[in-house]
Amino acid sequence: MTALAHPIGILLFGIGGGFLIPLLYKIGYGWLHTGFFAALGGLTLTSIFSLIAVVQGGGEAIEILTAGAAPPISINLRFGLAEGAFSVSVNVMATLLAVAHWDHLKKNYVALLLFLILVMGINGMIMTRDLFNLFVFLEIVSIGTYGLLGLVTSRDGIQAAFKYVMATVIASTLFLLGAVLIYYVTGHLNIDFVIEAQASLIGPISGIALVMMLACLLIELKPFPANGWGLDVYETVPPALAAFLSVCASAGMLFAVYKLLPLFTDYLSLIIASTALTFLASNLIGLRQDKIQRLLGYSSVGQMALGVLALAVLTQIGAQQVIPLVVFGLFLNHLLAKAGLFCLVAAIGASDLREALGLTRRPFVAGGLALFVVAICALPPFPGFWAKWELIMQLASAERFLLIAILLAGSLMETTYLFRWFIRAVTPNPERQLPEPKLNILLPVLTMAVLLIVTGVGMAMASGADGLLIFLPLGVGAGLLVVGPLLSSRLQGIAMLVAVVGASQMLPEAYGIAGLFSHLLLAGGLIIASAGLAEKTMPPLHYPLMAVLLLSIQSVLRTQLGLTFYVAWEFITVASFFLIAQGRNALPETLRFMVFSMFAAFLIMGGYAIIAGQTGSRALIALTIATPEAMVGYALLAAGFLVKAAAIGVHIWLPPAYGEAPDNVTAILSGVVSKVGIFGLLMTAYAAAQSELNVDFTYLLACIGMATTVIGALLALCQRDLKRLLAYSSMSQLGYIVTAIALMSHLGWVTALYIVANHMMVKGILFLAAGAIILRTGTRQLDEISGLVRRMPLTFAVVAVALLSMSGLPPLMGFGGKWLLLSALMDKGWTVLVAGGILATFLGLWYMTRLLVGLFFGPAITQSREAPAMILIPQVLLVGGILVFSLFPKLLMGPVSDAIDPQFAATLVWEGQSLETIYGIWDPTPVMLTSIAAAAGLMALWWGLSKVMGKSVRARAALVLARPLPQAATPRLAQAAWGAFVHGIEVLADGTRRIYTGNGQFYVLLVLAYFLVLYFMSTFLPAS
Amino acid sequence: MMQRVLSVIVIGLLAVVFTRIVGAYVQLDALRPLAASYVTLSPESLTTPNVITGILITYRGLDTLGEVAVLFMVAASLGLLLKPLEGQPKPPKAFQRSDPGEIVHSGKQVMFPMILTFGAYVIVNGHLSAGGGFQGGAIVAAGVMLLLIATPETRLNTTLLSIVESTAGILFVLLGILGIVLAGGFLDPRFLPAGELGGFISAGAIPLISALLGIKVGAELSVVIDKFRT
Amino acid sequence: MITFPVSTVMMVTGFGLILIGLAAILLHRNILRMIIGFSLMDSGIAIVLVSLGYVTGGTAPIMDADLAVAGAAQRVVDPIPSALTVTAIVIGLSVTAVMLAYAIRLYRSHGTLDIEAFRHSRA
Repeated sequence: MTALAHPIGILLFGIGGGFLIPLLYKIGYGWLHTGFFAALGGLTLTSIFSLIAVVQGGGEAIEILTAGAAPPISINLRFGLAEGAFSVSVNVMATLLAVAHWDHLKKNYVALLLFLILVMGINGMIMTRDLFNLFVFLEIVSIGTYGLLGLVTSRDGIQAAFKYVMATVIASTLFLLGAVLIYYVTGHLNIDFVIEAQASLIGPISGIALVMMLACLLIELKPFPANGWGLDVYETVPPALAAFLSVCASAGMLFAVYKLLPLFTDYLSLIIASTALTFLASNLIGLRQDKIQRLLGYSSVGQMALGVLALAVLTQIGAQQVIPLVVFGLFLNHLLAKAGLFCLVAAIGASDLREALGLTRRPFVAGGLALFVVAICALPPFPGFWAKWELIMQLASAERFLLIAILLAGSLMETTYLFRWFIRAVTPNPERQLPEPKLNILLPVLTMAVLLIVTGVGMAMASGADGLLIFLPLGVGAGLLVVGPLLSSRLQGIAMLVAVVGASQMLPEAYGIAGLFSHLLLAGGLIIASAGLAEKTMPPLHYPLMAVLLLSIQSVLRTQLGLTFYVAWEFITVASFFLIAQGRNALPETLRFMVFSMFAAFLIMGGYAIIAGQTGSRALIALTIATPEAMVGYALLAAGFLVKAAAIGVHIWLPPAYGEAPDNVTAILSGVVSKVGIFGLLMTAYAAAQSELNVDFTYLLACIGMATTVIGALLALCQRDLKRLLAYSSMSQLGYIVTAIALMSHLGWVTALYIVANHMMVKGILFLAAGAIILRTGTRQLDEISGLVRRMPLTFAVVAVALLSMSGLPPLMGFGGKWLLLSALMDKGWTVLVAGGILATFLGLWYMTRLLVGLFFGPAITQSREAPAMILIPQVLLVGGILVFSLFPKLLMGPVSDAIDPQFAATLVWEGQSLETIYGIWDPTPVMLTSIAAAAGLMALWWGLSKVMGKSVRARAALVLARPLPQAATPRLAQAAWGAFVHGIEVLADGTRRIYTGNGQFYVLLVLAYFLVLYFMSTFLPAS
Repeated sequence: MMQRVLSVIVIGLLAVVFTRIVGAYVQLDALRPLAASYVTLSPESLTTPNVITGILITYRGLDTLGEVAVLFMVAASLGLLLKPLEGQPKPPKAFQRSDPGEIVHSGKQVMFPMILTFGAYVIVNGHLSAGGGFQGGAIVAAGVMLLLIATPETRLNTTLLSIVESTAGILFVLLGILGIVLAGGFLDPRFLPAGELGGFISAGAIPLISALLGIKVGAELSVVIDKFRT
Repeated sequence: MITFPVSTVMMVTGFGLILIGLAAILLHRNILRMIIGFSLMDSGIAIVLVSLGYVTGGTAPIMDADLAVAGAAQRVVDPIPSALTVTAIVIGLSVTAVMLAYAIRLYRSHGTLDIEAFRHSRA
């Protein structure tokens, strides 16, 4: 054990094993294979035991002297925490990849010995403390790679390998020259002694030497644009080998940069510039890539650049204490997830990104793909998330806003292309045969997935987030996933409801506005979700995801920390994505949902980071103490929440997502999930109000809200698709809420909350009813459905109540909301908006009439029957809620009014059930009585009219089927604008990737030019 | 064309960089402390008059081990790289080997044994005079090359060579480990008697390591040369 | 007349070789010529390395009848660059061997040695 714990054993196992391989080959294959795995296992175990020894020794590094002499006389190696962490990661991954790559490796014993010595070389690069020795290990890694590339026999592969050889030979030559020049200047090759003699590193020779070494290491990490040779190799080699090069070999280079960074302090800005460019460019080009392995290559290049970027920038801003968390987190995430993805490519046997694979037939592979894609996109709870979060926070503290923008833009592009791939891969395609996945690939993949989860959880613990709020949703989801197969679908649903109720009791209580939201959304969510029980068989992931969704919403509402808020927010996004994706025709529409959701999330992250950086506190409450300088932060936060609230211009994700999600999922999305964004906006507005911003953007916000309302209503009016109509209606209603929030007054906010509650219940009912109607009629086109009033009277009744409430007509809840809103707008003097509100009300009435009349009146042209009880019961409960709140508005408004901070002068006074405002008294009782009478009259009139007109197809067509507005009245401006934007990005990407001509000579030229640019730029940098 | 212009510019700029190095270069007037300590340590501590060998085999022995590994990997991977490709068009016909001629043939008869002897001499005297395992190994391989040119029909026993190089490599590592067990650390050669400075049997395990290196390098380079004949 | 120290002359030679090698690499389309360029570059590097270790008036760091141990440190050139050069040469040779092997492989699979012909993967 103690002998094993000596890290020199890593080198001995590697090189000794390598030398032994030819002899074992002569003896027999059994010996050869056993010997290979014994050596690789020995090497890996040695590194693990050594790391344990280091940890037990309090983190003190093990110094390994050679030749019985102390440095600088002899070469020494070091195995400390950092070295150990990298070494163990690389070795464990190498072992897994050897298993995954076994089909190729076992073909030739040479490959086995190359692999062993190569792994040893990487460990050597990590451990050595000598510049020239680093070069030797670098060469071992390079030559081992050249040899392994000999396994590739395709013409493209041979070409790529030759380009790779040429480029890396140039790079390592630079390092050699640099190292010897450093020796000439300092008289030392030992890294520690060179660092000590740093003061003497002045003058042109030192500068050139340092840039030569730096250029070599950066080139080995494949910087844009000098990386075509690397991408060609990623594209053409077997996936597991690509994974090995991408994660293990690069790890050695990354660590070498880390090790030599003290020498490069003058060049940090250069490193940052180059890596930022690489990160942005590779993700940009990734958008236009169709070949999976090349795509993963671009992603790898970007990820490694991000790691170096983090290293350099954290050093530059003096945040070295978080380097382990950030850099190692990013590295680990890349290591496990990228290797996992490459292995899955091997398991799937696909090369074209655009090919639909029908991967859901292989649930394990599809699950792995989902997990790894989510991890690479740096979504929680995986290690990359915690690392990126901390990095962004640090960058914000140091006011490196440009870098934040680059980082988030690059990440957004990466999310886009990876999710696009995922969506294509799971798109059904019965034609496509899927190979039976091999165990030797699946087991490593499983291990990587488990390690990813374990390390993610570990880092979550280390990052200081609320463990309970983060892991309870995931835990419940995972639990349901595990017990799911044992239960029938309905039992799963019941288990889900029970689990969510139980788990939500364990979470800390929320107070104030958050508390209101929390109760409202929990109750609403449970009621709407219970409609799922109507389905005999749900997709297997439905209930686990629903549990994660509902509980994450609670976490968002109940946390005090920005980090937890964001994590739970992302859980909501991811859970929603997968829930939507289960819709019959939803897959093509989900990408837009994901991209816009991530766009919103990044805006929120950026905004929060700016404010947190300015206040120096990571608690949500700190949002309220920011000074006016944090204005941009609030604007970004508001923008992010507006994207999620589908404000006009950024609304284009909502209709397809709501339209194509499974029906009860749409009900949850519209009724419940959309309110979380509203909550965020409310909190932002609250915080902004508290923190005495100079700039007042409330009017702008109100205008956005009202425009959303009017245009949403207009678009709803033009829909023939039942769910799309309701989707645009949701957008319109959310606009009202945004306007109400923008009022920034007591009355406005009470109104906002009131409409929130109303809309939740109304849209819950309407989407569930729509689901039932679609279920019973088999169509969602309004013009194919009519006369349902006889067939589905109960559905008619609840829909009528919901529509009445939403329309803002007396007597139901919606009336109160609209009345309050218009009053408050008048109070502010925003008369234009009042006019907009009235217009929107009119348009709303129009499309609701269309809906009601179209669906329920007229000739019964479709056979159908009443909705299933399990869909009706939740609707009836929600109708009950509407009635209760309509009759006793104080039940809701009282607590709402109290919850809103007393900083707004209270303008609502309750006397009994009647509300007294500065405008007058709203006593619901007489209003209700009169309006019930009016409504009864109206209903009678409707009935009479429909009696007369119902038979007349032409009249019906005029009322329902005709497009009420010409096409020109609703130009798809937002669609066109976003389309043009995306096209612009694509043109840019295509232009950028023209640099990859495929000519190896040109790639060599770029490598040399990269060094020259680095060098001549460095001469302009001020020396420290 | 554009690329050629760029290439010329890049070479020109590199010339500028190199000129800067030359311009700033000052020839050293004395050894720096580290170099000076090698010059004293090598004869005194390692009993090795050839300081470069002392550094190569001992103080920077890890480099040498790595270097050996590199050569070993290359010799091995040539087998992989030069294997005929499956499913590819047949390799073009080998060039007609012209007869090496009388001079080469006779020259080989005379030179081959001499070259091998010289190689062996250079290998075993590495600790005393200019030379050592690599240099000697290269000389041996040069002899083998001559042999192969002069008599192309010669078949090298690559199996044996492969066993030899592996065994030499393993013994090298084992000697290194003996250094841990018996002396001051990995690759410390001082577990064998130091002998007298300048003596043939001296310098601890250095001559032994040198010999192993020579055998290994000779075998590997011969394999490399042989592989390229296929 | 300006006189250059011997090591400067060597160094200029070495850098010159490197540049010639790079020119071959960048300007020739035949990969065998490019490989010769790499080989030239390696030789240039070796010369530069050795020249960097030169000490005015120094001799080879090998003790013998003419070079006593005592005082040797004042009379020899720096042994380290020489030692490094040995390693660099071996590695250079290894790389050349690999490149040649790839050249053969490319010729076998494509029937040509023109670098322009090897552009299957791009963008």
